[in-house]
Amino acid sequence: MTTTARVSRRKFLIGGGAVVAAATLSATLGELGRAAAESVVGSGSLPAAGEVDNQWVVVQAANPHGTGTAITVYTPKVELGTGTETALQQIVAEELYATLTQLTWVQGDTDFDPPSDSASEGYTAGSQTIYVEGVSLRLAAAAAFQEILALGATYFGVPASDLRAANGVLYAGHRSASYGQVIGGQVVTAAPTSTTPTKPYQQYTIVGQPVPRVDLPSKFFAQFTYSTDVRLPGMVYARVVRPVGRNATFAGWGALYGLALSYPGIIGISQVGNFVYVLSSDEGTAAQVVTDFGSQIADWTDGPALIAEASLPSALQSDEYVYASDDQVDVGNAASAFAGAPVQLAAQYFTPFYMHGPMGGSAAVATYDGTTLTVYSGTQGPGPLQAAIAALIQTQDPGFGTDNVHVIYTEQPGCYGHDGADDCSAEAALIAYLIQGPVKVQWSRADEHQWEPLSPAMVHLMQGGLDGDTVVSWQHDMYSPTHNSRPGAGAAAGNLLVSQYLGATPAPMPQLGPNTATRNAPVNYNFANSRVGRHFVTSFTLQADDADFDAASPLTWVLPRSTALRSLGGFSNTFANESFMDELAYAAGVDPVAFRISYLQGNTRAIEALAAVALLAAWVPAQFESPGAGASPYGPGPGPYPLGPPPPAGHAVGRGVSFIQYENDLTYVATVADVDVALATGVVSVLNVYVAHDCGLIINPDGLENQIQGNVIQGVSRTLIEQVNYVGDAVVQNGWYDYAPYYVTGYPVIQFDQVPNTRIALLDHPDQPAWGAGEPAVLPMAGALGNAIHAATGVRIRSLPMTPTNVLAALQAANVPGA
Amino acid sequence: MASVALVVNGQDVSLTYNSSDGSEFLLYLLREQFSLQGPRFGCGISECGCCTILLNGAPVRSCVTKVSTLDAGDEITTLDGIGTPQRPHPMQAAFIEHQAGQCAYCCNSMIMGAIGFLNQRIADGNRSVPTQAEIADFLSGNTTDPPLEYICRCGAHLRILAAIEDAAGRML
Repeated sequence: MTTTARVSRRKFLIGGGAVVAAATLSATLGELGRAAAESVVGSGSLPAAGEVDNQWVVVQAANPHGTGTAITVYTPKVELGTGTETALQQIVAEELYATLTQLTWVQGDTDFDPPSDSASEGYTAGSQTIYVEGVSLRLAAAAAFQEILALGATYFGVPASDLRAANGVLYAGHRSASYGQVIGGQVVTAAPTSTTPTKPYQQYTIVGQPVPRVDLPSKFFAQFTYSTDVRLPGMVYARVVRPVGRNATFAGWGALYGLALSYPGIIGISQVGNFVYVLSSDEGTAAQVVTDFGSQIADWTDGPALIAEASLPSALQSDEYVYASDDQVDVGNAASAFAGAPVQLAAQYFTPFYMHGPMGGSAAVATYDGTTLTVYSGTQGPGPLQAAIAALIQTQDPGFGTDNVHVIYTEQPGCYGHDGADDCSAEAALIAYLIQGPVKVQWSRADEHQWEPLSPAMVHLMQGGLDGDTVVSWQHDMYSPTHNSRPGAGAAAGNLLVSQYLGATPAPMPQLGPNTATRNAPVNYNFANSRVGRHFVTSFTLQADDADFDAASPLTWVLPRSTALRSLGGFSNTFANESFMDELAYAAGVDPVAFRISYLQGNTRAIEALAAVALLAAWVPAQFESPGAGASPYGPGPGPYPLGPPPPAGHAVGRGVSFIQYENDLTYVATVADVDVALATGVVSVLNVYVAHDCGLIINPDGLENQIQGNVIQGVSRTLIEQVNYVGDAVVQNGWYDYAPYYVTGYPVIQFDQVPNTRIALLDHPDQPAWGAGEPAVLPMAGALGNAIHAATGVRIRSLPMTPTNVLAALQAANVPGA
Repeated sequence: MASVALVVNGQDVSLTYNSSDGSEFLLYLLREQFSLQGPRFGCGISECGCCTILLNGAPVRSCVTKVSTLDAGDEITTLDGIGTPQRPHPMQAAFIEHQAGQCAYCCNSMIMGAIGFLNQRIADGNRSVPTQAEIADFLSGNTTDPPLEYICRCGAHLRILAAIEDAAGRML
């Protein structure tokens, strides 16, 4: 099994001997995780030859005396604050019969992890860390362990089968030796093969345990270094003066340029293209100058307005902006079945632009020594960012190459997707290159709110046909701008904001394909006739065909720049699917849980999840007097909420259910939500949320619960509260809530007094592959809440967010008494 | 260059600043001059709580607190100074026990804010352990005017409330 892995290219410092196991992080391995039905954990085919080895498990002695056991893992996947670092360490320690304290973790350092050309491999995203990298690291650790066993057999002079291992120590009868001792001075490389034995799950002692997060204590003791905490000798501080809108261009220095420049501490104010930045010897002065004088440091020429926010629902469907369409799913003949259906339902759903809104504005530190541009970045993709930054600097120095850029991952506030981290890092890199020294770029709250790439608005046209209580036709046409504009090599280098400030154009809008806007657009329900149409909407024009095409600034945005936010299109698609499924259930006069289960026959784990959440929530099946005309004990709608005391006067309570299987073949989530609607004000309070969650083998139940809670709470926030507002070509929100003294317009998010009681059932399947949990539980939230509001009031709300204003308007339009 | 004598995390220090009117905000000066990283930049406009410190025991937003508002001898406490892994503050111990964070960037705000909240409660002669609803009211800004909210974006709210309640039980 010893191979000639390309260890020499790595910059490992191996003092004595070592066992080095290479693993390929690739979509191929991800497929191992996907192939739940046919493969047991850890087995399966190996990556194709030629793929890049970019993960390494190195086992060595713990000290120069050659004793002890030390394990170092080099990985391009990064801890984003979700706890995967801890979970992955559990997997490695388990497979190596070692302890967590013997592990050292090196993540997201481009000196160790060669960049990948494949966009999907270099990012930590999409709930893929556990099910892709987890498998990959398990195999690498298992391969390393087999080498250690072989070395141990020689060391002790006994067959490997007579050896026992625990806590990084090998035992042969009464004799024992650390891994470092049996390795001695030897250097052995290993790579997993299809026959590498892995530990049977029945023997797991670390995987499956609620191991505390390895990173949290240092964060609670202020000993953790976030990117904003990186300090380099001689470092200066930069803040960026932003254009007045996405399409604005620099027109010259403004009235207060001179005054700002004369401020004590200000080193300089510079401009390249539309990129204007202030340099200061201290951060506070840079912040104050940009806050106080920013709008008058530079003058800008206004650019064209974006598509007006109010017209988004229609504009997203217009031929003018839809550039590609096809049917992603086409089973039977949905159109003719709909035409012939005795009962026909049609509805339009809409979700707005959302922002990631990390708790702190993005921050990055960069320095340049004349050869290497080192960037401390909170990026989700150190390798792709390295390539994109190299391309950016090439606009200043054609000889600059990827090897001249060293990206070192340094955690930022939780990102939930592609926030401002990459853009901020690239700005730091460019400034460091231009000033030939160390600089910190801290994005202000307004920078992050107004300039991070957003999650796009989406429209869904739903049509369903019923014959009796049977769905005879299901049609879903979804319209969406891109959910992926991450920077990377090639054309994707133009996705960096600062590259666009310098005149680069973004990568072309994506071709039709699954997994961005279309995530969970298809449903797992077995309908005889179903069709899912996907319609991709452009965000910008390059105007190359226009008579007034300006080659110097060809890019014109028609929508805010959009990209990946937790679950991509899955949140909006599932809102539409699960709300409309509820519409059909009520029209059919069938309990919504039973209705869903009836279309999931054969999908055992899906049914298990729905049954589990029904049990957890003490779901009482809805009783319909006749289809669509039942009566609940409390609400005006026919909702199943006969539990607890009646709501106070002027309030309605109701309960709704929602279900997804993530990406249609991974994690299962079934969710029930209970809401209280204040009829006079439209205020929705979420009383309880119940979640049944099946992601296969559970690596860390406490970390998993933490992620599910986070998804529930973010889901409530996105459903009830959040919405980006823009005017002209500029996002108007520059803070968390309106505050006139500071000229703040708010993008409010959920507060502590709005968080629901949450009960979670973790459905463990230790004999099955471990899937991700970073995203799945957010998908069902909007459907569950909307369905609960309908159950309470009889009113179906089909646009997010369900703010008091929007809910009250809907209640009044439906003449709900008390509204 | 002007300066003010302060006690920061129990140490006598001199905080220096450039302006004639002390218009600099405390957050940046504390971080740069004393290498502190408990108070963090979150919004710069007093809306989120990431920069929370204790000024003479009361939680304040250091991102909008001007040096000019300080008096010589003022005591400043930051997350850096309240405990160590060996001797954690009860609030820190409770946050670890409850794993009350995800990215944990915001947790400085809830840890320091809650300590200030409990300090005030004790000063008011109320030694009853607050309910989670009372803690949520405080963290939602319902007890101050203008409201001072403590924002968590990852959704660790339930664990944070439980941790603070637990710590309060040990501190009160």
